[in-house]
Amino acid sequence: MSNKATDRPAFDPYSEFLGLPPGPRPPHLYDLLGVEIFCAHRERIEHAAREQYRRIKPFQDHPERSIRDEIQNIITRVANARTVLTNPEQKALYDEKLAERLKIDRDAMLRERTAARAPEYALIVVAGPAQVGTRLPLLPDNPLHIGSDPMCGLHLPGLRMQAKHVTLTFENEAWRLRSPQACITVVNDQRVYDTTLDEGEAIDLGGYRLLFERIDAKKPHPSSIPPPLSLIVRQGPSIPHPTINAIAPARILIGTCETAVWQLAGKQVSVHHARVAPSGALWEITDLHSDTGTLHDGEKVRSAILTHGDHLAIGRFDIQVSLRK
Amino acid sequence: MGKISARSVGIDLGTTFSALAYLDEKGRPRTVTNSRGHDVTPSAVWVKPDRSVVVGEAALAARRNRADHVAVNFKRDMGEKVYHEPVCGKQFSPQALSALVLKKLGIDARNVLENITGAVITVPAYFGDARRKATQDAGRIAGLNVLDIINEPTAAALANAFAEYVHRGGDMVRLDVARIATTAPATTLIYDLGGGTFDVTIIRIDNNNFEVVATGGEVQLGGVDFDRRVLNYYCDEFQRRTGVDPRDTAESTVKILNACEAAKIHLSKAEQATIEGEYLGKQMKLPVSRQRFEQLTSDLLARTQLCVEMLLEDALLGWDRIDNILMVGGSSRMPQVTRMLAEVSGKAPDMAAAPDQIVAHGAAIHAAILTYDRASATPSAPKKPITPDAELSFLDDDDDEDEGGPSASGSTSFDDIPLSLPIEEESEDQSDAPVSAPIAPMEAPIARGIKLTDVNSHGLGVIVRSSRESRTVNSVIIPKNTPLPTTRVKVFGTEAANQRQVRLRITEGDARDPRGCTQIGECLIRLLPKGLPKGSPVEVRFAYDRSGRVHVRAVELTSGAGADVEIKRDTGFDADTVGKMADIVAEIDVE
Repeated sequence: MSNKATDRPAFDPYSEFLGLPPGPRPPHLYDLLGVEIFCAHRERIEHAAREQYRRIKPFQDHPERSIRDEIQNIITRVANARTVLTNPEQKALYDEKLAERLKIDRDAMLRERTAARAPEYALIVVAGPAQVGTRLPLLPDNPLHIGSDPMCGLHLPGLRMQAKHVTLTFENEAWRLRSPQACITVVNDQRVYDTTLDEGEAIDLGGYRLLFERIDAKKPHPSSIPPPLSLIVRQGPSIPHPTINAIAPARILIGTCETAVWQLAGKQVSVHHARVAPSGALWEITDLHSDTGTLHDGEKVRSAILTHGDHLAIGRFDIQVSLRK
Repeated sequence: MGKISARSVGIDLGTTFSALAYLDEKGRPRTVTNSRGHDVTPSAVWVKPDRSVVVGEAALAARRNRADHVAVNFKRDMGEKVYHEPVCGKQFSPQALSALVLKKLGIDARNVLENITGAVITVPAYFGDARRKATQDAGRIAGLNVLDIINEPTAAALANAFAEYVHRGGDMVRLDVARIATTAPATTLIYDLGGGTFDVTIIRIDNNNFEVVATGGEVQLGGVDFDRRVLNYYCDEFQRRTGVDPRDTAESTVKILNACEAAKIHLSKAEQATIEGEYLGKQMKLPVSRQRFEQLTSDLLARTQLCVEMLLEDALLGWDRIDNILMVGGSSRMPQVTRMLAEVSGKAPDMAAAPDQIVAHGAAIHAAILTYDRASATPSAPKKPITPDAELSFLDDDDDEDEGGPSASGSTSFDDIPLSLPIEEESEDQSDAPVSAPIAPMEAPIARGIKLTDVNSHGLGVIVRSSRESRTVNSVIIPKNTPLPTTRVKVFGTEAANQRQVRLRITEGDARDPRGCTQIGECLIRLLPKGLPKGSPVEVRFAYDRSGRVHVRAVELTSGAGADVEIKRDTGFDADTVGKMADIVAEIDVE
């Protein structure tokens, strides 16, 4: 577009402001956004465009005029890359030209990429009001939305779950979890907004606990894990989820805390009141030094093994234990 | 027709066009027509060799023959020291060129108004500190009593709310505040694509409360960039066919650029336009379809889209939370703008009634509010002068005075002692004291009790050393989109034991990388007592007042030693310079 051929110094605004590795300038649109060539991941493209825009924008008042002008061009190119690559028709046209220019067999490349990307990880719902036991393999080419909206890839109903609570995408060879500001998501007991997931990590959101596992992870022997557990409120204040189900190896935090998997309300319930977790082939409840204590069959306990039909009292809640064989 | 007596006015100082408005006896905004009978005046300044100056249409016409004698688009250079090229062989500051446009608007206004008591000048919401200050200076150089600088989208929202009120049968003379705003609280996204700048602002109007939620934009994106695309398309083709490039001379470029702009405007209504140009005796007619035009400029439009979406993301709002979309600015007339906004939002955007004038109208309303405020206020406390005390000094870049006596440890060069990362943060918002604006007796009747809350468009912070990252970073103290006025405090720790002074470099910008920020001032705490341990707490307090001034105070908490500073900008002129320039501009013959 420029009509002037300026003898540009070795200064490379693309690496300076966007951190791009050396390469042809201007870079093609995929390189510009820092996504893999022919990436068809709409959300990843949109996200990458925003990231690049945020990255370069602060520099637009650069003291040197020629660099300033070039930054303007780059911003426009980033915006354009986003539009072209998220529009199927424009993208197809662009891909075709790019493959021709770079002498790449696009289809073969994509086939190879898909083949190389068998699912390696799965999400397992280990505790929550519903869907417990669901196991979902994660496909690297598909982002996964989790939320109460039925359109989500993992649909988890519940009043504490946002319509689109978190998004999982495969980026730079890792699964990345993003949770908007308004959504409360906890990974390994830390509130998170944007994090990469490691094998075996637990995700707590909206009254559910999910486990991020390798698909080929070694399973413990069936007899050494406790049977599925349900805790049911028989009497007590009205709460969003009066029942919680769990399978091993779930660990359920009970309390008034927003991040608790099982949130109970009331002044007599402590923020972190009690925890239910497997102990060998059994379930065990442990009181977390709560103010009013945890009652197991009418007795104040520090910890207790749960059996079918037991009664628990936490605050004003009367809870029944149910174990399935 | 008798003249209206004294009035404060609102001025939209645009990249390509400027307009001046006032409120008539009935409180309705009116745009002053210029000597050619037009509502808007091109922001073009023709400097003749005899030092007389012509502003407006005639200047644009002159540009076709003497491009080097005419300055245009200088709003884009606001904040720079000089306009990017000499005009009639002389260097001009963008402020001076803008002042000449303001002077011309003032001359035209005097056909209708006897006296201009004060002016509110608008700026793009995304303008940073330096550009705002330059705009204010331009007003003063033009001899105007600048009441305030207000953001263009905010002005548009104000004017739009009033226009709707009048449209619903509201009476401007006996104003019913409760009916000013729409009946239900509404959140409006204002998309303002002007000649040279792009702004997007989300504003919430609840009765008479105008609350800006978030603002963003681009200071180098506007209609002129669309014209350039068409110009390059035409000239590339011209060169291909004839072997010569009309862009080789400024004059032929200007002529074709004008034709391209005309084609762009035509294409907003018609499907096809023809551009005719001539260079070195060769001529070419080139038809351009609307589709082709949209192709040529699709990336520019995409950029505005990205900007809008990022603003929504920043403000944690979805399109479902936006009730109305208001399009402002002449370039919003391009049909693809409406189409794009409708597609991404799922809503029908509204075009402002007079997209070129609405900003000036809003500024006039704001001016009337302010004029009354100041007239009716009890003798206001005089503005607190800046009294630099012994412990405070401004440093020039190469000023390395050191009489504070550096510690034995030696390395107390100012630059090398930033602060380490924050120990704690707190914030004290004071946004509950909005401007109240009763009816002005001397002004036209105007809204009682309009409350206007704006936000800052850029973060403000200080450069500190992060020990974790072992580099200097920009620590934002007032993040962008914070409602004003506000006071924010952060506590940092000194970087070394026995540190005797602390230099604060105050930045504008949101990047963590200091290179992505503009330094807008600095202050120095000196003469700290000996023997302070490393990590001694230094409290940094930023107070951003309603008029856009930033007061910074830093205190070393254990000793109580402190320094404060009111932000001074490098490009801002001091009162003397403004005075001198004003004298020069006053003498220049402007027509």
